[in-house]
Amino acid sequence: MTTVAIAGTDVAERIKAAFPDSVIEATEASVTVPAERVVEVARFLRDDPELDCKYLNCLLGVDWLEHFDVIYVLSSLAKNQTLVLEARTSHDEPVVPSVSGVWQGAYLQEREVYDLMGISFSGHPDLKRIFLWEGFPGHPLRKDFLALPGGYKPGLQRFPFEFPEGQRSYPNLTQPDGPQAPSVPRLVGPLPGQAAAEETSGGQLGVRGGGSTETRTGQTDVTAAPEQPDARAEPEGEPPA
Amino acid sequence: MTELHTPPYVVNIGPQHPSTHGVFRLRVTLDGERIIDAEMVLGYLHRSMEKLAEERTYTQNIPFTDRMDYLAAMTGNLGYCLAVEKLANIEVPERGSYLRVIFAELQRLASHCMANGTFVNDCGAWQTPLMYMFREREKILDLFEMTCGARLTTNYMRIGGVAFDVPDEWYPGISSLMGEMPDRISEYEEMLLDNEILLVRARDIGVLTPERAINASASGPLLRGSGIAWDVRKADPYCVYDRFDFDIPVGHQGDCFDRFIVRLEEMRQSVRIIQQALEQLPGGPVSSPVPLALRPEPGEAYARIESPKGELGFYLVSDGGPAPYRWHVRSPSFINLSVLKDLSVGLSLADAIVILGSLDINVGEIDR
Repeated sequence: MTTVAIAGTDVAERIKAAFPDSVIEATEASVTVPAERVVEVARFLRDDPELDCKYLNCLLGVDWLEHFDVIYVLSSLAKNQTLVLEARTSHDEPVVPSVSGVWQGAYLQEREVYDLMGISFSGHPDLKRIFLWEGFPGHPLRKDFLALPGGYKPGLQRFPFEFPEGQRSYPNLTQPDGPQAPSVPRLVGPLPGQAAAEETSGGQLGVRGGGSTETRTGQTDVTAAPEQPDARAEPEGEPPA
Repeated sequence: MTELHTPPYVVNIGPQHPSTHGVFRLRVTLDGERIIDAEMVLGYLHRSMEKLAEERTYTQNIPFTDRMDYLAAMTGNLGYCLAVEKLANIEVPERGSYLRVIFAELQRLASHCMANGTFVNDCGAWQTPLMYMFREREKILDLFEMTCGARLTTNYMRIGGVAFDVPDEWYPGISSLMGEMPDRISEYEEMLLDNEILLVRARDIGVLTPERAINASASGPLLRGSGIAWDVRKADPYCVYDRFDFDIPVGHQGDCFDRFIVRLEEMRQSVRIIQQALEQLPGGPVSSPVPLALRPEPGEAYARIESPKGELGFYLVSDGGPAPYRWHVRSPSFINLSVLKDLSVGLSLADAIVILGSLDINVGEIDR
């Protein structure tokens, strides 16, 4: 006996039959609905006798930079089947209606997502931070909440012992025009003062032998960058409306 | 006699308190001795593992899973490695899967020893049963030490298998332990099942109905104590659990005592699984080669196992890079706390301690 994963496309058909125009996207793995419809869809999935999603396995938020997804892994213990529901909300004002009235198990998990990801759950009976203290600046699991001042991080490179993509031998790092380890796509934009440095060296932090003095100078500039990301400048303890 | 009412007042249990099993704080509002409100204050052990994991490779993240539920590091390792294997389509050699099962079940024995020992401790059977159970737990940790050098934070499982094969001196150690374990469990039962301290404190206290257990996403012994025969090892077998013959113990009333006897019976079933696995243990490699800087295809995967505390799940999102884009843990200790307030309101302060003990929480896993 193995748990059957119901295809998101099949679930989408059923949801569409009950609530037309409420499915944004349906793949084999999951079905995505707009955030404002999630409670009625959740109640439908729970009470539908064939889907019977009485058990909420887990609830998490994912920051996709242009929007947030709240992912609900649901299952039916009686029928031993599982499905994944996603609710999509905007990045600027992330609000998702709370499903803690549908599944009590969502109560603590929604507080966790609110605390660490900054997604507000409207209708939640007691929405406040759970792991961090009230007044903590920002929400750490957001991709723009980063370790370096200015909101940038070097990120993971290809490793010194790893061949760069499409290459079969180690690059000769002593030659300035030899092949270099490729840079990792950045999240926000080029570092101030780094774009020029990269054109010449192509290296970044964390690559042994790669990276030049110019790059390091560029990194020093970052720490002095006047612009701070929004997450850090958020007023203390104020949940997004 | 009319009931005497006092103005409500607040008592802080914890964060440093022997009954909270870690740095966990419970603020209870009392009317006399009755609880009228209970609020958890969490985060004293929050290390932000989910964020840290986004900057490390898949292999570098394995030690984090040791430090979540530090009383069950092997199952933490296992759940995470299974999730990465599901994400990247990696096969595990058969001997590796068998060793994973054996060590996961040994860990379940050790964790249940700890859970039951501290639970009866909370009930008032002070220290003696705990010391009996620590005697067996100690032997299990010795077996871990022989194999991977560590007793608590084992870091033993790897993506694609396990880190080391077992040494020669491990075989006599585990067979003698498995030979004596059924007698030891009988000894616990003899000592505790008729124990008046335990019966008076735990019977009919903190009753969780099956409907509420499902609605509150309870899992593990908490769910099975309420009479629902749901075990991920049976319902959705991972590794090689489908090759073993074992039962799912369930409770009837859903009270604290039922959770306790479910854990005791699960220890018996774990011994059965280990004995069968040792008989069937095949030869061959324990691990398949996996690049250290693993880059799974972009996608998402949710894998779950039955850890001693309940359903431990990992939801991983990959963007094709060497580090996970999102690393989420469905931690059973955390989600099982959903019912704590409902179970304790209306009871006395001393009962709340017993209920908390019967949930078998681990603060490292709650806060992550």
